[in-house]
Amino acid sequence: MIGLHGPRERTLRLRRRFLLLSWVLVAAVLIARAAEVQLVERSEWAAEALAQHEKSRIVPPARGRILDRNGGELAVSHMRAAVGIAPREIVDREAVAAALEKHLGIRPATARRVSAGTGSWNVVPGRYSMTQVEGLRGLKGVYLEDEPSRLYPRGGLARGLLGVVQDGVGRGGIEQSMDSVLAGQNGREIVVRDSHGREIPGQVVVVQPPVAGRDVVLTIDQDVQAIAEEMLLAAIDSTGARGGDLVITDPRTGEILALTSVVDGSNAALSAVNATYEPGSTIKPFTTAALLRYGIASLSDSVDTGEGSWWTHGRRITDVGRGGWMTLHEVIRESSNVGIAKFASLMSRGQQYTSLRDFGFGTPTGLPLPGEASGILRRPEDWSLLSSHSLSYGYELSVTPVQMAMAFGALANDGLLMEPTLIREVRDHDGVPVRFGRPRPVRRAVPSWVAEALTPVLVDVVEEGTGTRVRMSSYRLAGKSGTTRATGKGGRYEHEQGAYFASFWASFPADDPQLLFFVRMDRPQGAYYGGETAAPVIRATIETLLSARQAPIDREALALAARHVPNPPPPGPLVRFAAAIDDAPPEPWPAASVPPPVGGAGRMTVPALAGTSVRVALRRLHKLGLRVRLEGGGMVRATVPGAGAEIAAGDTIRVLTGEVAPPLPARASEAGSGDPVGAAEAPGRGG
Amino acid sequence: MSARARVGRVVVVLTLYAAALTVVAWRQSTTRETMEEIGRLSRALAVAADEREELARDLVGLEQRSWVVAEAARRLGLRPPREEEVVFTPGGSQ
Repeated sequence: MIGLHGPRERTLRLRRRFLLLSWVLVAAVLIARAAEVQLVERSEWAAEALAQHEKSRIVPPARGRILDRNGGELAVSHMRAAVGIAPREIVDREAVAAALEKHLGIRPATARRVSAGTGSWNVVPGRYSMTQVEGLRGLKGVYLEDEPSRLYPRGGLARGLLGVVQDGVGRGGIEQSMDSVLAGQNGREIVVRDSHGREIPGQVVVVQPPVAGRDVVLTIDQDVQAIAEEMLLAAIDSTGARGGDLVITDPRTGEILALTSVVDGSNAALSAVNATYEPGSTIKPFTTAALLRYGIASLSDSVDTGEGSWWTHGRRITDVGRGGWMTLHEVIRESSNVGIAKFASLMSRGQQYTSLRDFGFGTPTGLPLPGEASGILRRPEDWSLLSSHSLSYGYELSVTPVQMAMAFGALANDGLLMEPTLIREVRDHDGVPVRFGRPRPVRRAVPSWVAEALTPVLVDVVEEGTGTRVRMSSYRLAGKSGTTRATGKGGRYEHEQGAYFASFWASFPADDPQLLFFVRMDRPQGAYYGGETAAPVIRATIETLLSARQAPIDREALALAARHVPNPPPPGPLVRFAAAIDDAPPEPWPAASVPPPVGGAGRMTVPALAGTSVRVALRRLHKLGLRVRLEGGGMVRATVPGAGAEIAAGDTIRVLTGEVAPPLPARASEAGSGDPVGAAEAPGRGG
Repeated sequence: MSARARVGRVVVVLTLYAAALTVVAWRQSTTRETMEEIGRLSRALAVAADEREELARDLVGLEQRSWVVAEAARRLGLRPPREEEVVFTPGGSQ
């Protein structure tokens, strides 16, 4: 054995000690670090490990349903699947593309695009039903994610009223205004993942369950809404109007039963709530109500409407034809601008303003819908010398159709103005009502006796005045027409042909109103007067509602309210419906309920009008859908073009007047509308 | 302790260890199968609910007045009654 001695041994010993010390130091460092990790940084590392192993995710709640007044579903939530593609993971691109095309029904180009490429992730556009995506399960590189989606079972019904849901947030309509109620609260769950990041089946822990949104029950009746939309669209189609609005309410409670607007063929906007216009002659009953309320005039008081024209403060107010002396009752029935302006001049500004304000003009109705317009009713100190006159026949103020419906509702409800109700109740997810929308009176707009006194006047408008197109043989209706020039940008009147708003209001039946209708047609072509274009919509709607299965009408009360019908048909549950199988061929519907087109392809001949009163002549011409240029007043001497000449609907006829043998006094039912001439003769003015 | 006894003891321990592993593996695999089956059933339920929804929607569509009226006109030549043809009698049901 050879021993090492001396310096060599010392060197080796030093090396060994150094090596040992190094190992000890390294071990100490490792132990210290391990202690730091285990003791000091324990929670941080534990959290990171959990994050890699587990994944927390938000669980969206089921959005509450929107129901109609009878519990019918208007909007519901259901599960849909989003499809994501990881192109790098796909083994057979052709097979995946073919499966996407087959099961999802997407275009071949789209299927190839999302399954091709080297990107890490592609999303297939759209959301798909569970049935559709079932065939995609198991395909490598195809990922499915369930998420709640909004469904409107009645399709586009009440689209503007309901709104939509985008990215889980309500946009427009009830979806937006009731979003906090409908949305519910997000939940949270934790899923456990394997080493490849895949979820382990069954390893899901719900940390916080989602809270479903509450159901909102509307006052809307989906059958009435569907009928209203159908009738309005049919009328727009037949009149060539740009759009229109139809509001149906229960005047006793203020409940909105149907609310629809059509603008340029779409019912997504809600112009009945957020678009204002000048109401024109439909405001005259409110002026009359003010006159009665303050005891300034009675319905039998008269004014001289002269030649149907009145110069005042440098402006001419016009009527159709020669009016002469007219009672206040006749002024409303014939819709005389001159008459109502003269009566209104007896009122103080404060009285006129207060009265209009009490009917709710100039303030939002409080309807729970986004973007409701308040309209404009200027304070008396801002009025000009002409404002009182203009306001009396519906100019210098702007209103929404909903405001008009509620204001007329006050007249139909003994003078009590009701707050419009759109939300009937809110139910929690167990179906228990937690909030009720009860009828709420706003104020008494006029004394009960004023509303009562106005009823026969407004019935006369329908029976013999400007609203005969809405007259029914079985029931009496009260109503009023209005025609005003449309305004464009900057509030200026539009001068293009047919730029008018035609409106009509009616309560049904007149004596004990159950339903109130308000229609506004936007720029109808051809005949553009409220009594000609808007009134038939109401008649068609009522006619359809009478035969609807679940219309919210009290048939018992209607049975008592019906007036004598000459030769009533024999009663029977289905007999009358089936009675269509008669000699006449089945009529298309709803075309049967709207006025037929005038003449073949709109062509017709000018009727012989010489010797008739201007009013009768105007009525006949308007009914044919013709425009009139009136020259003078009194009796008709001739027309240009002359009787028998061929013309088309919408053409303008010059009516020449002059001295002829005095005819028999015109019957009240033959009297013409006061609506059009003001609009036709006085640009920017009219009733 | 003899060598034979020692070997026997090792074999018993190894056997018990293998058995334990087998039980764990079996339980995990059956659990996984069960969970996958539950997942399949859940998906089948979702598909069935989806089909039910579609049928309900079809039903709503078939109950809609516009469809009924159009079909009544097409198949039977019927039309909605006119206003004067609708008569309500006092005392009748709502």
